[in-house]
Amino acid sequence: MSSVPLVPELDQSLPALGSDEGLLSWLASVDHKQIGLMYLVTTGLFFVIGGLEALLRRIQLARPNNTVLTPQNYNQPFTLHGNTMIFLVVLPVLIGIGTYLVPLMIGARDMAFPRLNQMSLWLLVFGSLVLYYSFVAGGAPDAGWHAYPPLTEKDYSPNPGLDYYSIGLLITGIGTVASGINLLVTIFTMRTPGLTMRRLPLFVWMTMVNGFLILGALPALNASLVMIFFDRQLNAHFFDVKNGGSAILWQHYFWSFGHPEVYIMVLPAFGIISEVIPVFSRKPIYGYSFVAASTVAIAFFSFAVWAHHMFAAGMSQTLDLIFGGSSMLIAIPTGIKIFNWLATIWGGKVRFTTSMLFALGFLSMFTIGGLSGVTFAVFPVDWQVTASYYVVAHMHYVLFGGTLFAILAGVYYWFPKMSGRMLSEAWGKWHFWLMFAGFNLTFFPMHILGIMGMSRRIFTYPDRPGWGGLNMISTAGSLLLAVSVLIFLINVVLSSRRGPPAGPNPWDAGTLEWATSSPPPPHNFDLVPPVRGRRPLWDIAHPAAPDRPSRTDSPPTTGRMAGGALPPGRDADARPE
Amino acid sequence: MIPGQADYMWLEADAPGTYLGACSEFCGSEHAWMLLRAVAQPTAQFDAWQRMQLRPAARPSGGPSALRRGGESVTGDPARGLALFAGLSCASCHAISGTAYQAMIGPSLTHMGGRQTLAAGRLTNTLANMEAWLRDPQALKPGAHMPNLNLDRSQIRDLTVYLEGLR
Repeated sequence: MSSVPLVPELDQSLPALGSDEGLLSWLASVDHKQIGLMYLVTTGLFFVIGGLEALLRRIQLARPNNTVLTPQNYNQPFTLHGNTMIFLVVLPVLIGIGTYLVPLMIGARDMAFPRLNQMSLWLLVFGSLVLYYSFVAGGAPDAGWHAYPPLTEKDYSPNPGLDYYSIGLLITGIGTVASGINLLVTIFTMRTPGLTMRRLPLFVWMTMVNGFLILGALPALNASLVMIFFDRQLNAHFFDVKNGGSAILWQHYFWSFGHPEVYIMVLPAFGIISEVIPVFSRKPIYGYSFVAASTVAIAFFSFAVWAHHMFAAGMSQTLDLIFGGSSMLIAIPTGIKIFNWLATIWGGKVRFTTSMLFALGFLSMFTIGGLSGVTFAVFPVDWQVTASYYVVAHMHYVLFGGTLFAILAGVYYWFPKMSGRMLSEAWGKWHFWLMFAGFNLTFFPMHILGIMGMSRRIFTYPDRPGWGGLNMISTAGSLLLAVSVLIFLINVVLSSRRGPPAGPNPWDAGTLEWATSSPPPPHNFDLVPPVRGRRPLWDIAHPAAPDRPSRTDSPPTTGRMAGGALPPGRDADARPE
Repeated sequence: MIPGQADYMWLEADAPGTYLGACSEFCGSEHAWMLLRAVAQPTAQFDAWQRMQLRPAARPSGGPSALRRGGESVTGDPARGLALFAGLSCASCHAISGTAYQAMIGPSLTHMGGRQTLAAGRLTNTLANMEAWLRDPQALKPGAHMPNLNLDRSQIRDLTVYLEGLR
C-alpha cells in the first residue's frame, strides 16, 4: 500500500449528506452519492426533454401528409432526440448509477478520484447546455445523430447547429472518458479485503468491462468530432469529397465508436439485471463465471462489428462477409447471458415486484430487439431494411425495451437505498404495465412499416395502404408512454416524501450496498462486513449455509434456497408476493 | 450513394410494372419527398422508350397553342416558354438537350412531359401541378434548391405548355 492517501482531504471537505441541504452542498460536492444522484436528476430531465421531442414527432407522423411541423421543425427534434437519448440520457445515467453504486458495492469510501468524478458530471451538464444552446444560436443540429457528411459539411448545413453538436458532444465525451478511468481505477484499487474479482457483484463486473469499452471507443468519437469541427470552421477537408476528403471515412470513424457505444449503453444494464433477477428469484445467479466472461467476449467482439452499419455504403463483398459474420458471432455471448438469467429465474421463488417486472420486461423485449438485430447481419436483408423504420423498431427494442427497462428495474430496486424510502408498488405496477403496453404499441408497428418501405427520418409520408393506420397506432402508443412516464415521476416525487421507510436491506439482498443505512452516511460504511463469498450479507444471515465461491454456481440444498432445487410449479411457496 | 465513389446494384424484376422506392439515408430537409420509381418493361417497350429519351428536344413552333392532356388544358406560347427558360434563371441550373443550355445542377428537362412525377415524387405530373410548382416551389417542397421566381400567370402558362410539350 502506498503511503499517499487515495482520497486526500475528503474527511474535512466533504459536506455531510443530509446535514446541509443547501444548493451549494450539491454544486460543490465531490461525494459519489451526491454526484450519482445529480447524474440521475440531469439525465431524468433530459429524458423528459428527449421524450417530448419524440412525442412532437409522433404527433406529426400520426397521419399521412400531416402539416403540424415543417421539415426544419421536424429535423431538429429528431436529431436532438437521438443525441439527447444516447449522449445525455442512457450513457450518462448508466455512469451515474455506477458512480452511486460501485463504491458501495465494493465497500469503498468513495470513488478513486472524487474531484475527477465531479468534473465528469459538470462536463456532462456543460456539454449538454452547449448542445441545447444551439436552439438559441440559430438552429439546432438537423443532420441525424450520426451526422453523416457531406450533409454535415458547411456547404450543406450552413447553420451553426452542427458546430454546437461537435463541441457539446466533445465536452460530454471528455467527461465520459474521465468517468471510465475513474470507475476502472476504483474497481481495481478500492475493493474491500476479501472481495476478489471472482466475488465481485456482476454489476461492478460489467461496469468494469464498460470502463474499458469507454476508453477504447470514446476517443474515436472525440477525435472525429474535432475533425468535423475543423472541416466546418477551419476549412479542413477530412470528409470533403470535392477537395480530396472521404465521406465514408466519417462513417468508419463514427461507427468504430458507435458500435462499442451500443454495448457501453447495454453492458451496465446487463449488470443491473444480473443484480435484480437473483434477488427477486431468491437464488444466486446461475453461471456467474459465464455471465462475467461473456461480458468480456461481447466487449471484445464489439470492436469488430462496426461496419455492419455500413452494408449499404458499397463496401467490398469481403468486408460485408467479415462484418456480417462477426455480427452474428456477438449474438452468442449475448445469448449466453439471456439463458443464464432464465436459468436463474427457473425454479426460483419469484417475487413479482415492479423492479422484477421491469427485469422480465427487459428479458423479453431485449430478446426481440436482439433477434431483429441479428437479421441485419444478413447483409442482403440489411440492404432492404437499412435506414427504414425496421431499424427504428430494432434499436428501440434494444435501447428502450432493453436498456431503459433495465434502468427502471434498477431505479425501483435501488431507490430505497438512495432515498431511504420505498417507491409505491401500486403506482409502480401501473407504471410498468402502461409503459409495457405503450412501448409495444409504439414500436412494434414500426417493424412492419419498415418492411413496407417507410424510410426513417422523414417528416411526412404519402398515403400508402396501411401506413396511416400503423402510424396512428404508433402515435397512440407514444401517448400511453407519456402517461406512464408521468406516473413514474409522480411516484418518485410522492414516494421520496411520503414513502414508507426502507431500512438498510428491504429486498433481503446479499451485496454490500445493502449493509449500510438507507441513504448511506457520507462515509458509506461504519463497518464493512467481512467478505468471504459473492453475497456477504447472505453469509452473515445464514452462517450454516454460506455462499462459498466454489459452490455458488450450484444452488445449496439447505436454507431458504431449497426451493431452487425443485422444478417450477412444484414449489408451493413459489408464488408472487 | 456515397460521393466520390461508384457503386452498383442489381435489381431484378420478375414482372413488368412500376416499383416504388424512396431515399433511405437522411439527405436534408426534404428527405421525406425524395421518392423514386423503377419501371420494368418488356424489351421492345424499353427499347422504344430508350430511343425516345436519346432524342433531343423538339424546337417549339411559334404562336400560342392549347396543350391538352388528361382532362386538362392550358393555353400558352411554347416559343415564349423557351425564351423565358433561357432568359430567367432556369437555364443556369437545368439542361435541355438540343439547346445551348446544359447546366447540371437541377434535373434535365429534356423529356419533362413524359415524366410520371414532379419534384422527386412530390407530385404527379399533371398540368395543374406543373403550374403550381412553377408558381411557388417552396410552398410544395420547403428547402428545395429551386427558388420562387415570382412568375406571373402568363409566364407560368407559357412555361407549362413548353415544358409539358417536351415528350
